Amino acid sequence: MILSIETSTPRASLALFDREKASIEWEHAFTTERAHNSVIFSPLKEALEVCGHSLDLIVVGLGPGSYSGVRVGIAVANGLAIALGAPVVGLSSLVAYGAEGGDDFLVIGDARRASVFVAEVKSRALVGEPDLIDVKQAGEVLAKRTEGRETLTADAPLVDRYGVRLSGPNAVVLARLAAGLKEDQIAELAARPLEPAYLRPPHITTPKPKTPGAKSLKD
Amino acid sequence: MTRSATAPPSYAGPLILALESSCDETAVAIADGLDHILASEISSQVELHRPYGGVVPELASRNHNLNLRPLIDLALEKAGVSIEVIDVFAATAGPGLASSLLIGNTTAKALALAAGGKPFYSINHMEGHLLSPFMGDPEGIRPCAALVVSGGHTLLIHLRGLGDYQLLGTTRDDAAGEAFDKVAKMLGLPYPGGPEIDRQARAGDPAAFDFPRSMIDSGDLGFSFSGLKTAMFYQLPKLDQPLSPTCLADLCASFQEAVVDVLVAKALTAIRQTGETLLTLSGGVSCNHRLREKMSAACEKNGIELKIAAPAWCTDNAAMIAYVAAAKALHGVEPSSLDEDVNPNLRLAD
Repeated sequence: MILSIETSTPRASLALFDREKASIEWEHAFTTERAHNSVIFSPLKEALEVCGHSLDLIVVGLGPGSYSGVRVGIAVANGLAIALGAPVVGLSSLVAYGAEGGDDFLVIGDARRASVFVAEVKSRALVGEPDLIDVKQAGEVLAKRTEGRETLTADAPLVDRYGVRLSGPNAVVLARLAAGLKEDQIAELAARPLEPAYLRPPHITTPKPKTPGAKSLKD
Repeated sequence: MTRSATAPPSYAGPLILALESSCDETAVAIADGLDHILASEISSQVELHRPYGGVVPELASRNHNLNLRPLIDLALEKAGVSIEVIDVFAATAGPGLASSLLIGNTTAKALALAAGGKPFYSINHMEGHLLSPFMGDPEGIRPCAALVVSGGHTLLIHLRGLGDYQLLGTTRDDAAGEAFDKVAKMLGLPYPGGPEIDRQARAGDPAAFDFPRSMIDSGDLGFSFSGLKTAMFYQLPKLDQPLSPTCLADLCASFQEAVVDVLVAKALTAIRQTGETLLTLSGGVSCNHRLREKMSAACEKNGIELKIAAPAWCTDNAAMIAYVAAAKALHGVEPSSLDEDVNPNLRLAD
């Protein structure tokens, strides 16, 4: 059985995929802005009961999205992997969006600090890295790039602003994608440390060098 | 309970696996009951944060995420046990940085659940510091007045028993360790500043500068260290720049003396108020040599028994978290719910 964990957005989900039946055995979705860490354990307990604490693969969505959401997903995946001895792989959450028109689509999202990201998904695989666009140019750039293509976003405020459809990553799609991975692909992915998909380096404001005595007391 | 071959040969129990990720140290400990620490691994991020002169929360969280899993594997290997034989899981739930706490706390909860619904204890980081002087003591936890001094806290607590803590006094502004760090920054000393001031002060004259002993006669058990920082701020422009090594050493020694004098005086008042005969000292600042020296002398003079946390347990570590979890499990304290979230502002006592 494959357990899939997708917590990169407030609409989070878990799913179990039965390899023998080649179908989703169990799924659960929940909504939380910031409390993934406290809300996830009750459905997770149910999932472990359904699979009898026996998993042959764990897959987790790495975002991009909420940093703490993704970190909760990774921490859960790592904890389960250690305790159950199952391999764990991370996949971009962008490839696990619920699309209506097939496996080729665009995903846009709020990338914070006045920017929007746009990512291209082809055959349920990410093409290159997401691009960051300044919100001031986003209207024009996105109008060109999204013309005639299915474009999805998990961020409600972007729906009307850019005329795109509201959808998000989900554990059911993620589990199906993981089920399609070959053994050597699993081995390669499982060897990588799980890390959230960061759209940019950490935002750090560095202090200016100060001469002794000339320093602000407010620091 | 049947034990597999991967349990320790002389097992006392319960076997605890504890995770700590409240600030910039990722730590994993495995302990057999209260008395045997089988592994205590710490992955320090101090070098990563040094260029910024302080802990950068986002950087800390990114590194906890990467460091924790290999560190758990390493701790299990060093302890010579496998995950199936762990009886109790524990993790720090606060106080600390939310994005850092989340990583250790969530991982420990997932471990407890997946290991077959084993008990999980959500631990207050400050309770770890509070009880750390008793680690390795066959007499166990005893009633005392406790001074816990770290980068984030300055607490005087009346410890009446496990889980029975009364807050006697705390700081109104900066924590003692925070004052050390901020003054070190003002003096241009490298991060982390506390140990650096301690080192510089050894060659200095503690009476060279007369810094204020704030609230030393306030009659209560409150602290204030921000005035001391201000005094240093106004002292510096009066001195020749750059500071001579002697002057720097004198400044460090005099500043340190002022902090230590207040801590010692208030700790003695706390002993008198509580009527206890045992004083404990713990937290990162309790590594400070002058504090250890003056507190020891004052306690000896007043016939007070003093227990100071071992240096290894003064700074952040997971062994103290395992110790609290072991104490709770052995005292039959109800385990925590997995539905409980972390709390960056978690309090120890009111």
